[in-house]
Amino acid sequence: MFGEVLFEVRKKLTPMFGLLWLLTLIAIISFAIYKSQHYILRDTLEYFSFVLNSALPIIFPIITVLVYVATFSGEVHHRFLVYTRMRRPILTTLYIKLLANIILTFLFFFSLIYICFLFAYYIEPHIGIAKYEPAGFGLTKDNIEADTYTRYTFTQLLQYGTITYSILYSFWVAMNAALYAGISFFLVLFIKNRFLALSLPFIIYVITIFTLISLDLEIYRLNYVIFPFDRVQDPLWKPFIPFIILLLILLCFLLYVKRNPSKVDSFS
Amino acid sequence: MKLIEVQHVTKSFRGQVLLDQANATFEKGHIYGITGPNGSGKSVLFKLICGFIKPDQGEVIIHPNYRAKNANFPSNFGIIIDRPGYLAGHTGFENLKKWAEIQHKISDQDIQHTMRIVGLDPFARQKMKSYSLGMKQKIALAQAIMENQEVLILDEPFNALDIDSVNDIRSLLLDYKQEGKTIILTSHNQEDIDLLCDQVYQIRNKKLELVAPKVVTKPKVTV
Amino acid sequence: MWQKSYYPYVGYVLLCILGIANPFHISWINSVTIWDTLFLRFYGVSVQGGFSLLSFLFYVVVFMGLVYFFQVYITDYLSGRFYYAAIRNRSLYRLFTRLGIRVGVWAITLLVGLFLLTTLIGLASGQSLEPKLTVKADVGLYQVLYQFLINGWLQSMSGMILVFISAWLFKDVSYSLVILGLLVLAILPMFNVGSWLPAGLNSMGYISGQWKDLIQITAKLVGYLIIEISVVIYIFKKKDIALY
Repeated sequence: MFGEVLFEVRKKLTPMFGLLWLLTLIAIISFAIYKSQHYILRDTLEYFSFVLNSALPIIFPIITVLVYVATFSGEVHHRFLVYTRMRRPILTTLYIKLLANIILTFLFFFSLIYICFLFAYYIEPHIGIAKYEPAGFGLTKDNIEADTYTRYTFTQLLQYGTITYSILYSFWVAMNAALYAGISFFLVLFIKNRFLALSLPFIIYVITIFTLISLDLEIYRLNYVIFPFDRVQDPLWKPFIPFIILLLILLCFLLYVKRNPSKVDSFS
Repeated sequence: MKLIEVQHVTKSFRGQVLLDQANATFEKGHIYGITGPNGSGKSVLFKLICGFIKPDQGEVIIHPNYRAKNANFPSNFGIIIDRPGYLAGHTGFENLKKWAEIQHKISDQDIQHTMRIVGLDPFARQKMKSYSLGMKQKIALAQAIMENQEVLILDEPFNALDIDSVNDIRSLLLDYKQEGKTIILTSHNQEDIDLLCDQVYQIRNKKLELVAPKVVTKPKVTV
Repeated sequence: MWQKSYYPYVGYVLLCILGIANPFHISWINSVTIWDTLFLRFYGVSVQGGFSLLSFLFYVVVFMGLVYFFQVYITDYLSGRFYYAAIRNRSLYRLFTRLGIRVGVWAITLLVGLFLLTTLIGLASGQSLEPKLTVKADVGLYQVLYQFLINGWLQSMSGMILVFISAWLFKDVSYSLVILGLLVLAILPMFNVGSWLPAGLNSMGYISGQWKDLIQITAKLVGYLIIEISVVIYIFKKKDIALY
């Protein structure tokens, strides 16, 4: 099965996939370059937060869906999936596609976030676009490093080095992206209306964030747990609470389909 | 009366010519068949007649009684085009009612009557997402005839129907012809063409050719 | 009889109530009159003032919610069954006009409904009906009502026509999804530089106290509506109805 998963992943690594990735990266970085000219920042960490904290937290679920689930929804809608049943057990096909979806979305976002980090930390300082004045924030050479450790959630990891932080944070964003993509995958199977199925993750994302803020539960809002740059630092375990809830939802969907394949309309 | 005239119509899609200088005349009160291999352009021809697509060259002329000057689409046409379209979460009756509400020409009783004619239970609570392909096809047929449309453009009307339903619909179409309605249909079943059609056009090598009307002894259609 | 199909609308209404009646919103303390509540709750985004995620999201839920409901409807409508609806209308323009009237009525109903809801919730919370705004001295009551009703209606119509155009032009629903995302992003002043895009312009945050600014917004929205309707007319004339 692993070979089939790899085959599916390789099949989807098309020029269009590359283009989507590239366009997303260019859009994020070029907007950050444009915007940062009007701001004075503390350091490269703040620039990194600047790069990520514009459009991405808002349309994150839309991009996760576009990576793989959008084309998969076409296969479901046009009943391509039905005709694979004569050639391979449907659950096997499902697992292969789900894994491919998760892998591709993970790779997409891991590389995206990591390259943004590399840009913020190693490329931009040489180009000199942003203006840094740490003194204006009461920071000096002596205390700036310690300040970064307590600035945002996950920057606690900076104590172990910038590479460690960048890899683990990119991993975190990619894992969340894969989770959203996984949930979207099942919504496409359950909901006949293609647009509704593809857009629901985004709609629920917006509604959940709105509801959580309205109920004074800001620290659990979905955009903050992935892009924690607009609040003070929280303990590392807190972002895992929404993550675990979403993971449980994904597992429930998976169990339901595994136990009731005959009830899934998209399979027949 | 010349109801529909296809004059020197050429239509291409993505560089591929489907119809080349097609000519045809459809007169009132007859049944016409359009035949041709899969992908030859039968559905395209129907969409051209209905005004959904425009020819690259030539024109489709609809009699002024059936198409007002500034109208995109002919009036009083009942159509089945492409695959059945419906609201999956509603019953067959509810779907038909939604279409009927556009022109407000018929009542609920008329819809129920039409459903019975095509062999459907108007009071069935089953949603259309649970319908078989044949049942969906019957709904498509019902919406094409329920408002007493005078011209019927039917793309594969017998698709997925059982033998009894096929006989019923054949009989119905012949009755409609007697009433003066005009029917243009496609079918891959030669028996449908032989039994029903007064004239047959064939799409072959992008050309629309009139096949000489066959003189056949039409067996009596059993109901 | 409660049908499953009504649940999304019930959810939408509940979210509107949550947004209006939310006691955790700091602006609740500041609201003295119902007009204050109307102004603060539908603040949306602003070029001059600070950014509030809650205000932005409530704006998205309310106004993009209407556009989204329409988008779900139209992407389904412009599928196989569209032919059977189209043939019952003499022309595409007639079909579009009827659709436009229907969505126009939905938009008015929503705005009036929101206004009444805000009034009821405000009165229930002890706010007064006194015709004045206490939270922003230089802003008049009529400006608030104008921005809410007139520019609100124009903005809603603009959003719905835009999604209609995208659903018509692009068969693949992924494009409709991208359009939805772009429309939400365009609400943000950091993307809507100079407020030139037709998104978020009916936010109360755009009221500066000067009538000319509101009239300018109206002019922009009317201009965009004219462009959008022209695009619709053009695509009806030029493009074949090839919906899949």
